[in-house]
Amino acid sequence: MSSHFQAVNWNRQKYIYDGLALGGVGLFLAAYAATTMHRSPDVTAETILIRGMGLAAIVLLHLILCIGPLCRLDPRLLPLLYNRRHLGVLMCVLALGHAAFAIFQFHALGNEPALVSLLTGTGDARDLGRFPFELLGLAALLILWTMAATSHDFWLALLSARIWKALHMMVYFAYVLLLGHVGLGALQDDRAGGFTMLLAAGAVLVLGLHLVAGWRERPGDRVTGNQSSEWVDVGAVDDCREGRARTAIVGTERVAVVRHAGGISCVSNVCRHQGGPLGEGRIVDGCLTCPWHGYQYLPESGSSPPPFTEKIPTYRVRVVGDRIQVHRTANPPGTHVPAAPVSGTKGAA
Amino acid sequence: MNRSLRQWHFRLVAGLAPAAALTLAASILSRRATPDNPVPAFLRATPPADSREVARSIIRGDGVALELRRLTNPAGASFIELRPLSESRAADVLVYLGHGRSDAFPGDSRLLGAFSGAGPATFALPADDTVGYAELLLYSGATRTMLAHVDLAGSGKAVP
Repeated sequence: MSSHFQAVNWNRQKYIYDGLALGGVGLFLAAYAATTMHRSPDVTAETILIRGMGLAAIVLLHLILCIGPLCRLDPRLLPLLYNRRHLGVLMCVLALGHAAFAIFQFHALGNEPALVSLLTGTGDARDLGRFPFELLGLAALLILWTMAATSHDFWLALLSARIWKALHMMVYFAYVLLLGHVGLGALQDDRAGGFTMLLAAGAVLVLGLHLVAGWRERPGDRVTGNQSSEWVDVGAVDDCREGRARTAIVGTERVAVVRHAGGISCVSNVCRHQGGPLGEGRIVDGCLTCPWHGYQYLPESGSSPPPFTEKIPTYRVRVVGDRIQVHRTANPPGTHVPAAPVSGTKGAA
Repeated sequence: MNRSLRQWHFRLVAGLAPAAALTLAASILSRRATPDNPVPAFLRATPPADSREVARSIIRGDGVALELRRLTNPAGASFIELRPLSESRAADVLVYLGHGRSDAFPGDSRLLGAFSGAGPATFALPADDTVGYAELLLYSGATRTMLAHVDLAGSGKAVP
């Protein structure tokens, strides 16, 4: 969160995150170059750059795609999510470098313009073994470039979180295209099979983690209580820990039920920033804090603390016996609703 | 919003998982036992339809087994056609004309073109042969070794 525009709101965590990412990629490339030169002393610098950057990009893409489901399975990994966009931009830069060197090496030194040569002079689409895999890589690169170019919060605000997220979910199409690009390209000469096994294991890991994380969330999305009545039962008071939020279903949408300072409040589950899940957040400095990027809201009003201006809808809450009930109609964003008092100390952290 | 988003997310990944598996499986199954790097058609010379075969011989060398046909047409142009008898195991095969029988690569040899793949390749012989090329050389650019050399004048079975 920032009260004024900055290209990037740098802080200590971002410096550490980006430093580790850059250092890791640098070490990876150095190790790849050293290993390749040791195994093939005649290899050229261009070949090392093309292969090294391509390998680093695909490894980084797997890491990026694993972060989301890993954080949903274990919230202790949320710090990895914090600056994931910078990893995405770094991966795109590596992919662009791989493509630029490859196009120069294989297509720019002939009689035809490089892009004409790339689009018309590669492979044979009728023969899978000679499929023009370069075109799959080009299509994936266009998606990754679009995502990197719109990764800034400026575009998030301009497009709205819904459209921005939909646009960035294109990464899964890019991933499948890249599986084809690598499989029909570099792996055609992987006689030992080592890289093929690694790519297959990476795909199983990425897709498996997403499916497991999504499957585990399904019970939480089941509609409970009588959703047609005005007040919807969202669970027992003791299910809510002091200083924590939990997710519940009211109507057709998720809400965040928060226990804080002896009371229960309820706000929309959707963070105004990127649509992050506030129900998976916790109270920090008296505010419900989004687990993704730290956007904060006062639990009773759904308003960000001054000078910030973000507001989310709130819900009326009451406690009947040991059950929490939430009114099914959302209040306009920023509407103050007193917390429903909770007696006893059960559920305290 | 994020409930529907995550549900879409789950459906999207569930839908793309078979596509990803299929893509990987297809790429693994489409591998060839030997590298395939055919010479593009536009790089190959095509003998005129009225060309006539004048001699034929077999070349066997390190990783290559070819049938060599010498062709000529009424205008006096000469061609060489190389037709693999088996898929070549040699990498980056270059076809040269030379004039001295030697395992060392002669520096004044003349490059006719590259040869690879399973299909036939035809090369036009130069009309301005002032050197007196008498040999066909097959040379691996990848391993920098001479694969085979054939005496063009002294070998081959003449075709009546």
